[in-house]
Amino acid sequence: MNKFCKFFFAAAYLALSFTSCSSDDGAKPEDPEAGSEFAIWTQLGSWPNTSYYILGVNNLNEGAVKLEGNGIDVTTKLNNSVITRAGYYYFYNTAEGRFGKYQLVNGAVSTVREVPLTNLASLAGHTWIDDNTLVIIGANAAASAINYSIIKVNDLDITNGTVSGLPDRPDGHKYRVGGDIQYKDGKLFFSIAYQNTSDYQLYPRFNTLAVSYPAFSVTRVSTDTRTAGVGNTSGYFATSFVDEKGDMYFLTSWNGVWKDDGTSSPKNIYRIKAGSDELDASYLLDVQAELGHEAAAGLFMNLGNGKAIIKYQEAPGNSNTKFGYAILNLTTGKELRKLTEIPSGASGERNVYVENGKAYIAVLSGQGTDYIWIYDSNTDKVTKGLQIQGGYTSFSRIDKLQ
Amino acid sequence: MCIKKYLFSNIVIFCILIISFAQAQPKHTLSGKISDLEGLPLEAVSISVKGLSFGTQSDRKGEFNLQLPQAGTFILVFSSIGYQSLEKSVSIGNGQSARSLRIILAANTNALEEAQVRGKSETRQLKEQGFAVNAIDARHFANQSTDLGQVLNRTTGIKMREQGGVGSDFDFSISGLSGKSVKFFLDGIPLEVMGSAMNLNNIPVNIAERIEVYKGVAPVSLGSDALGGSVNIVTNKAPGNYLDISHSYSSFQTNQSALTGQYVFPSSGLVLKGSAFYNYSKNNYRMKDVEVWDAQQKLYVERDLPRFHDRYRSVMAQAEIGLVNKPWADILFIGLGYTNYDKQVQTGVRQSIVYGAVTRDGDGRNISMRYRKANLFNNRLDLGLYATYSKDNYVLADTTLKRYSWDGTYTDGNPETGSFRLTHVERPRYFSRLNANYLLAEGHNLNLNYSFDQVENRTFNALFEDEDTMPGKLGKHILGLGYEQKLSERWTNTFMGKYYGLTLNKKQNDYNAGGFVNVHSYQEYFGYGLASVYKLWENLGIKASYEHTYRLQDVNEVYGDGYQLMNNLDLKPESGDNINLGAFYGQTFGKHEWFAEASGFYRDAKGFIYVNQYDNNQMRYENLSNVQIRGVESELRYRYSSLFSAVLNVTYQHAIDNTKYVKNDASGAISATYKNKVPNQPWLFGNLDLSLGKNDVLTKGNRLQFNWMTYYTHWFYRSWEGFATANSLVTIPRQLVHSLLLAYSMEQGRYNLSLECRNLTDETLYDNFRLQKPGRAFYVKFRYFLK
Repeated sequence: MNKFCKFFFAAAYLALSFTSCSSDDGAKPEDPEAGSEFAIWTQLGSWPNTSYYILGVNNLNEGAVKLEGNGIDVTTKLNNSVITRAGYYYFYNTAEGRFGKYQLVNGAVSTVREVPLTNLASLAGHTWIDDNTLVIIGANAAASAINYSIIKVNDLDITNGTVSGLPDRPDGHKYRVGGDIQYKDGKLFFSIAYQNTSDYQLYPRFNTLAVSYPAFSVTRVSTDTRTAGVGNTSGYFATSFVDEKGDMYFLTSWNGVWKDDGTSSPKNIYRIKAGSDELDASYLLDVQAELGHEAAAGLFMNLGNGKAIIKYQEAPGNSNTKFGYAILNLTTGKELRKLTEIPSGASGERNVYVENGKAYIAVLSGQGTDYIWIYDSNTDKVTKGLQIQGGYTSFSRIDKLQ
Repeated sequence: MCIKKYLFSNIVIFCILIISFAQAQPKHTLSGKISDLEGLPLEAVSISVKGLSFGTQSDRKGEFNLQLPQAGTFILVFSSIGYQSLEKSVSIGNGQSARSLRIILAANTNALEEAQVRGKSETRQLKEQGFAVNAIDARHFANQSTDLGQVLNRTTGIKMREQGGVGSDFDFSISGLSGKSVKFFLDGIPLEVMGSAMNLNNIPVNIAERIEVYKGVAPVSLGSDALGGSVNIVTNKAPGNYLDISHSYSSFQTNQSALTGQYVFPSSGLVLKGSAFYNYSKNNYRMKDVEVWDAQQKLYVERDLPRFHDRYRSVMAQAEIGLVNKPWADILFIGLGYTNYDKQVQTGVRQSIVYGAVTRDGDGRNISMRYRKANLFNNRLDLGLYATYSKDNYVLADTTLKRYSWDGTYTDGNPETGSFRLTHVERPRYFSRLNANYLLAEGHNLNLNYSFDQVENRTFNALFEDEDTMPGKLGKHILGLGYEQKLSERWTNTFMGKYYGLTLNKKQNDYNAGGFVNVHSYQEYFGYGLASVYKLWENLGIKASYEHTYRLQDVNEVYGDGYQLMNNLDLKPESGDNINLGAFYGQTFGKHEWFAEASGFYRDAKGFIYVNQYDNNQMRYENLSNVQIRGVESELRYRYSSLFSAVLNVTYQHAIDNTKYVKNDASGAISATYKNKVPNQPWLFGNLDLSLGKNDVLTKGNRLQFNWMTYYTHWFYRSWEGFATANSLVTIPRQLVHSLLLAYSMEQGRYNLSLECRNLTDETLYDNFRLQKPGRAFYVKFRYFLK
């Protein structure tokens, strides 16, 4: 009977629709409040209908929130490889060949401005020279050179170019460049690796470059053979920073196979000291050796006071779904402790936001209800913050919007 | 667990078989074949016994079986509208259990038109089977400039979502299941054998005589792992000579030609058959409100611009030579086939991703043999064999490193598709099929179908390598056993058991072994099902069908590529439990003819295979989601003589996400979208076709016909309904398309000319998010048909 009623209704509706030409987009939920302080990026849904939503919240420390009716669906406009600063999102859309500046307005993504850009095969790394100057780098289409774009974000005026003076590639290899780029002492620092084009194996050495700005010419090359990786090659991961003392730290989190036996190169943390333009030969933090766990694909953020937070894999290998967090003493290169109060769980690429010595960590616990976990480096305490209704696929970012 | 299920289902089938045998003890059987004066089989001829209250009808082959209660002499009456009735006296003795007759009926020329109207067509007979089937008589569309996909899209439960114009990629769904869930066949042989140029949306309608769409439950003769359903294109099997040539010219510089023909040498039994088509289109239809960069204003501005890189051309030719009606073979044919296509690709997944140089070109070749012999072993066994070897190649080229805009301008930059490539795909394939039908007793048939389908997949980027160093080979052994029992004239059951054997071979890089190794596995699964139809009265029937079925894993899905795509040896096939319930009713009052059918369906599909991407860019195929679909569909047909006809159909389907846990991982949380309506799927759609025609216009034997076709799809959400803010929730707008056709046929359909206008109101149409389809288009088609 129920089916019959449904069918009857459907048939009647269709019959009416045949004679009607008015636009009908159906009932829609109410608009939520606009202008949130933080954005939590969530991925939702079963394959192939996985969608990205931005959940706006004003307080990460307390309260409860859920996506229903509140998520800004950005699936067809942005993805989580955005760069954010001062309330704007910047997105290099390689498929469309555009670079855009966006804002969240009235529960939707609003385009401030878009311009053509095809200079990089993909966004491998980014850093800010100042509030108005963004530098993005990436390989060219053939990965035979490293290109850069200097973007004035107020009007999206773009200067494109190619980094000169790169060390030569071994035959049959292409360049890989990643998210370890930082601007320090008037120069840019980033690393390059070489990858075999036939079997994707890495050449067992990496090179850290000091590059002049804005000329983009390599002024110094320092090398190391204890790993072959670079910072994550998806340039929105957080894998490097310059601390309050002006020292730069970076994690070689993109680490493919580098030996014939199939082993991957280690994920190490390196340092370039303030005033120096080469690797600090005395400094190496082997994450596996120090934590007893492999570092995750890339989350390494500065907490201040000589501390940093790093995300690690609970199990070795590539198909990981459980992650933990540890606090490092940057000066000594030693683990301070693991944040065992936080349930190990899935996460997303940039699921931690750091402010005033506090790390806000969104964890997908798989236990029904999820939380923002707050680690305060001043008190060394972990507390439970904002409650988020569970059942989502990932929390890929936490961004400050205002 | 699977073996237990299999044993159980087989035991049940066996028991039913035994019981049925017991009920079907020997009677006196008259069988025979009815044909016209030219030897063509006559279907739907009524056979009655004078003075008694029972009778039967001839089937598609013109054959019939009639059980008599006792020995004696009877007067049989053979009648069919359009033919002169015949009475024949037949004696059957006490010791005689069966007798065979050969009947020829002469045409009654005065009543021919009525015969066309009233005869129970093959498609109608198919609809009155236990399977949930759309049977479409393609000959009704022969004068339209249409392809098979568009014809099917106008039937219940079918949704074909195209990305553009002629030759564009498309997604074909049956009762809400699409992609690899649906399998396509040409005369029972997988369409893929013919090469990748053979697609539903480029095969002209004239190639086919009939199209059958089996929804959720497929007969064993279509041996495949079709989770959602099967489409079988049936070509002309008439024994005589015929020739059908057509050409259509239309908007956007589109030319489409088709040819099918057959010539029989009656004395030797030699038969030559051929079919071919040619499609060409610039597809340069106007795109509305697309963005281009205005260098002066330094802004993206909206313009209406024609598509500039969407040319499509495809060719198919198939020839067969064979012998018919030999003592050792009813038919034996050897065939050669060739397909070729080249295609420019205009857009990516959204129309804002514009390509200006990406191409996909391919060709396919096949050689085939088919054999059939009926009435072996005392007229009980029919045997069919088919074997083919084919090779399909295509090349996807993206080598220009330019980023195009809708105005055709470009800037130097990156590969358009994101990957600098000249990707060669080579697929050599063997396919063989054995089909045997055994008449156990009157009304009880066993059908055995075995097919072996092996395809090797070699893919390599010719810019960097000369061959695929890790080719994968996939073999499918599919054995089906069906048992059809006609318990009475009213009630027919079909029971099915299917065995799926999957053999996977791949060369793979193994670091431990220090090089390439061959990996291999064999997996087996068992499916089962039944279909039943019960006729309450002659014209009113109810039917039900069920199948537990699979879509088997692909080689790369299991073994990955050894680098970025990790293997998953625990990957399961996609599986489904499909149920259909339906009823049909047909009635004829004088010149008025009605036919109505309605059905409900249920699909419970588990373990859809998709790529899961991990944080470190490593990927792996996993059984990531489950879907449950319930729906109803109905069709109403009316015809008044040959003057007027109308078809109205409507489909409603409610698909919910049945994936309980996030990423289908039971250790995780309950997914927020569990039991939510699946987005990005049309859920309410329908069609209305009106046809008005008149015979003998201007001169006798000519016919003028006018058709009005309306097509409606309700709006639907692009992503999940309940989560987004009102301002960010994207919808795919409603589509309402009207098309007109005016056709004039001369000399009993020998010469045909038609004019057609599609999308009369020039609506902006989307099947997918922001992928515009053609606007208003005009077609003219000429067709010559000689029989």
